[in-house]
Amino acid sequence: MARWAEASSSEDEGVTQRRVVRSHTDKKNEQMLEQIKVMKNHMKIDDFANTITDYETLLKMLDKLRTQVEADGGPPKQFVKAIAALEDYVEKTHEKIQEKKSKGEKLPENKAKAFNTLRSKVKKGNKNYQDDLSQLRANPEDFQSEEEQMDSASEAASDGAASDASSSEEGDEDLVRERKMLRWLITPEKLAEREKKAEVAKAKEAENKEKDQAKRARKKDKAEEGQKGAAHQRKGVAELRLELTTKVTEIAQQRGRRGFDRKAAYMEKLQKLLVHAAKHGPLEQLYIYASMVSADFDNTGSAFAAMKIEMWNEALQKVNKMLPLLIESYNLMKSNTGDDKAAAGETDLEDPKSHPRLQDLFLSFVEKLDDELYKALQFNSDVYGSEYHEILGNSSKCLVLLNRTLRYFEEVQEPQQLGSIAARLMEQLYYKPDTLNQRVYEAIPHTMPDESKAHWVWPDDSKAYMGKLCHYVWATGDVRLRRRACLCQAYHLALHDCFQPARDLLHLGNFQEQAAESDVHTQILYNRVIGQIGLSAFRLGKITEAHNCLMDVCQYNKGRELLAQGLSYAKNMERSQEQERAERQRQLPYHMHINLEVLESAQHICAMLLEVPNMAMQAIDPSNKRVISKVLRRALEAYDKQQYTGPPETAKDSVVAAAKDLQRGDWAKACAQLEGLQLWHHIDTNHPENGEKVKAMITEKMKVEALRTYLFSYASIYDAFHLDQLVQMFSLDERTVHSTISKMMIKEEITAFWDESSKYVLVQHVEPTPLQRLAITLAERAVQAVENNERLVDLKSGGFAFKDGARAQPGLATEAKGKGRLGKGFDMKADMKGAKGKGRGKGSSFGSSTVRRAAGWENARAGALRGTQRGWSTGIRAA
Amino acid sequence: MAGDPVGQAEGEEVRAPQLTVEQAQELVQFDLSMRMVPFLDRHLIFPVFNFLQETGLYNTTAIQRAQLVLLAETNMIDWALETYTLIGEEQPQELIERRDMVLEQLEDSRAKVLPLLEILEEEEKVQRVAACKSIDELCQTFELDPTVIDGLVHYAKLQYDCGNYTLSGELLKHYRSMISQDTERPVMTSKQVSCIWGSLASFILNREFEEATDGAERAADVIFKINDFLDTTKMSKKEVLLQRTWLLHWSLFPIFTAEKVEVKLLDFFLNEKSLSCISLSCPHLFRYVASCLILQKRLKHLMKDTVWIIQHESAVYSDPVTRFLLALYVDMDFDEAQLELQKCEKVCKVDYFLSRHWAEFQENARLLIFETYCRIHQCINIGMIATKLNMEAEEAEVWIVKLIQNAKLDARIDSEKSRVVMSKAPPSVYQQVIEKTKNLSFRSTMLLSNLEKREKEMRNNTT
Repeated sequence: MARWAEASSSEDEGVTQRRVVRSHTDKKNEQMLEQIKVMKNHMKIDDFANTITDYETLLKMLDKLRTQVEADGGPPKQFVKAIAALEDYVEKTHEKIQEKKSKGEKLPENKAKAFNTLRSKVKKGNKNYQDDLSQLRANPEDFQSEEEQMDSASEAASDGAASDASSSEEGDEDLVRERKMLRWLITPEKLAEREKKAEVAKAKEAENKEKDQAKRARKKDKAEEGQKGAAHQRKGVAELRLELTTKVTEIAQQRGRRGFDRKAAYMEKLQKLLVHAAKHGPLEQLYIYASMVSADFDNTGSAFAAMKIEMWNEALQKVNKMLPLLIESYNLMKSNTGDDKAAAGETDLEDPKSHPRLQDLFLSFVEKLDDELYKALQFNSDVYGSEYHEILGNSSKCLVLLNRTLRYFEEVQEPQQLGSIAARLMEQLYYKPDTLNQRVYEAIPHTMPDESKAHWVWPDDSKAYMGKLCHYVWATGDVRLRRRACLCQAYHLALHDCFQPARDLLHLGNFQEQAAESDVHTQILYNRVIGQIGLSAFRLGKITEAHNCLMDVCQYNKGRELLAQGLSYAKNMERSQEQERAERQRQLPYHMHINLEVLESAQHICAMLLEVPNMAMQAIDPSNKRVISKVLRRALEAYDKQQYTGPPETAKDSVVAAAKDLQRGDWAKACAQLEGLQLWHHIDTNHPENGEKVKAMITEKMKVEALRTYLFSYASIYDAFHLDQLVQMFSLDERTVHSTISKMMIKEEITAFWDESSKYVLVQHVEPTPLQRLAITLAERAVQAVENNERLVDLKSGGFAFKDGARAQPGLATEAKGKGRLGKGFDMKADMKGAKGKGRGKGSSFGSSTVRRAAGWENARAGALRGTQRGWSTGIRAA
Repeated sequence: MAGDPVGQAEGEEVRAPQLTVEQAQELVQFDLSMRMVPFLDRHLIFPVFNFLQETGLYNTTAIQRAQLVLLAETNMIDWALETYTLIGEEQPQELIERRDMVLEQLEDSRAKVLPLLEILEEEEKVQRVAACKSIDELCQTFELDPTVIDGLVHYAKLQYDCGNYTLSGELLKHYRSMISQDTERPVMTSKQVSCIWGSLASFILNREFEEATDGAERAADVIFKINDFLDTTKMSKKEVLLQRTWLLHWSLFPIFTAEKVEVKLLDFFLNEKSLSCISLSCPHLFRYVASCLILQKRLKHLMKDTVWIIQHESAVYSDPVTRFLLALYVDMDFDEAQLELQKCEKVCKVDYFLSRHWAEFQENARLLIFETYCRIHQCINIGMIATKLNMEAEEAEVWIVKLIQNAKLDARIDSEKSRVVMSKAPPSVYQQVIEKTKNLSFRSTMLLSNLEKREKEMRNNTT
């Protein structure tokens, strides 16, 4: 019952949908024709009473059409014919009645009465059209032929009008559909392309009209022929193909209407057509598949809801089927087009099922699938649940598809499409360590046919592979894709301990600057890269570099927000709903996260290694005011204030406790504090067993820093240290101790010298006499006085040039001494300081970067080289 | 400019006269010629090849063959023919034919520019040429066809190809001076650029490095000119990088083969831009950067930063020379430095540019070690320093005595205990006070003058 109702309602829908736009007179004419038909019917059954009313309405109608009648110079032919027929009929009937009367038969009274009225009415009414009637009687053929023409013409007209309407509608709908399909293609080129397509669609519309009419005519033929039977054999293949397309288009148009039943009506119909399409070559099948997939994608446009995974799989299956067809069609096209390639290209564009168009469509399907999968992972809140795992399991399917598509486009050599697919593939691969990718690639062939198994070997040199993909992306010229590809590559490099290449890539591309002007997602990616580079530097023991990077990411507890790994929950900040939505939208799926605890622990350890000796040094040289890590200093202060110090609870507590031990020079205890950190298990995602190596390396570093701290703290108490004693204390080898102490001497961090055997460190105690100390103080005061005077004059006179010069002078002198060749450094430094502020709002809160004036590769490199001295990546640091 | 024509020379490495295979293999890893030739001009490679032949690192015939490949693109047919006889192969017929063709070409193009050449022969006319403001004016004064001027470049190129570098250099100089006077064309055309490169190549091959008294152009000047041009040019960055790389390679010739190196040239070679170029496109040049630092004592102020950069790039390039510096200045490991210095000898032996500088190199390197050593020791055992410097104890003592005599070292030798005692005084308080108050009086004067200036201004304003 329900189904019936549904069906009928949809039918109704169909009828009402066929709204025809007609002119007023047309409408009237049509009504008249209708009326004439009705009248004829009534005449046939001798229904006189009704015939009268029919006749009267007919006359009334003609009256309404008077203006046209006057213009035409007479009533319409059909009308004349109809009334003539009526007259004849009336006369004939009258004769019959008379005959019957003579025979003694009589009509029923009411009928007779009705007939009489009719007869008189017709006589009276027809008098007005006497001329026309006589003309009709004089040459009936004329009227006859014209009438038939009229008949068919009117039919054709109505038909035409209908098809007109439907085809224009079809054009529109094509547009709509296209728009829908292309909704997820955001790139500006695609936009341009879409516009182009719209134009093409307009052109196509015109063409379609013709085609439609032709095909309608043919359809009619077919109907007739079908009645005759056995028509199919005679029909040309081309016609069949055209017909097929029409049918598919027709079905496709149902999409988006109310009550549209995707599964039952739509898919099944198309499935059936697919069998026929198989006979006509790949393009037809592709066209049908495209229609089906587009339907699959309906209602998935929401930003916060992903496609259901079952649906996704269905669509994926279809898209997978499309690929071999596409290859087939490409081969066909290649073999066909030799001479008239240019011409073919021209017409191809206009055809909705031409190869390039279907190819683009296919590409957008692949991208949409990828997007949907990402969204599914992104908005799945239960990251440990089975659903998440299931979705994640499907990502390998997507990987397969992307890989196959990539190979196809490699073969076809379309740089644009190749680039966008390569970018997609990179985004799928970049964050996974080699071991993971390798395992995925090993697992995939089990589901594959034998012949393609060879493709599923993860390349030994994955960095080169990423490089290749990156090259593909560069060929497209799309700025955003390029940036992302480079960042992905840098991330991948950093993930595999290629610190230097990754950093070079970042610097040569001038990404610090670019990140600031990119979209949020790219900024997040940049932050991720910085974090990953920091971790790789940490693994390689480049503590300063690691600290600079990690501090950028972790500072101010913003790591979570900067890496888009969870919503920020700042206390005193109100977010509008919009901001929250935007923030939610940029969250990364869980499996892509960088372990925040690892990041933070690594940062704290770096800070400890740098800050503890620094603090010890400051104790003996108060003029040194450098602060390396505020976070650690604050934590140490808090630690000191504690009444009772419990065992460390968090990773940070452990590091702070270790720092405390290190300050006393007790490296063994400090190392023991760090023993239990999670960090060591997760620091190297590629080879977890490397964690031990990293730990050993850090232990060595701790020993060295402990030695330095020890020397700073206790040098004033000792006259001499024996090398062996130090070696024993810090269980370092002689060479390291010697080298470390020599470095401290050269840098004049301690005033000490080796004796002749290089076995003893002789500490020189330079204790100035009270008088000397006073003299120094006096000199300092004098300097201060002059400075104050200068400042006073400046203030009064509104600043003279000498202010800068004078104040810069002492600074510059040391600068020049220290930096030597980089004498210009002073200006540069001022520039570097100009880090942009970090907005707290939605979009702009990411990756403000150090402003560096000197652009271009030359200076970028120079900057990179100089960088580490001053913190080369102040990338995302907030001002 | 120059391709990589020496692919096959590398492959056949056969016992050379004075080297065993092992030795050769050890040495060949220090040979940079394969990495350098792509950035050199064809003609600039010949001296390098000659040198390689002398070292006996490679099979002589292999080098000669490579040379032949090189010669094929030049017009030095006679040399090519000779080489063929040297390796005992028949002289190909087409080469002999080409010889006549080249001669003919030369004759042709000479005939074309003859009027101009005649003008340039005469001192007085050359001065008149210099007075001309534009090419048109020049042509009018001497009734020349404008095409002749361009013909001059062609002729110079032909001469260059024939190995007649002096003449081509001379001609190009004239051409460039003529063109540069042309005020209507302030921007360098690509032709002028190639001319200037041609001049540089000619100068280098002519060994015109010495400072000329008459203000004539030298290689260094041309290098600066090209450098300036590259600074301002609008070429693509890639192109600029390539040309800079060429320039850096070419500038090795004047730096390392001239008797006296110009300071400006060293500054150019070691400035930031050059260093970033080197790390980008040709990290092998760090060997020469390091060598410059060691060889040139006056570059000491650059030492710290440049060593830092070398350390930074050590993942990309490292050889005994750079490692020596790193060992000495980064790790403070004197034993390691000593080992690397020993290896440096081998490097210098097979390096075209460094081979003649070995003695100087060693001397300077030792000095560097010694200096650093002195800085961190109170007294030094002569025996110990001798081993660190790879010297005999006696020799070392003499060396140190010389140093002290030359006032390079503030120390005394305690011959009884055979040690050197440094006279290290802690930074004196007196000195510190002086340092601090040195500029105070100047600053006060400035302050006063500023005040006066201000007063004057105010008075002017009121009146």
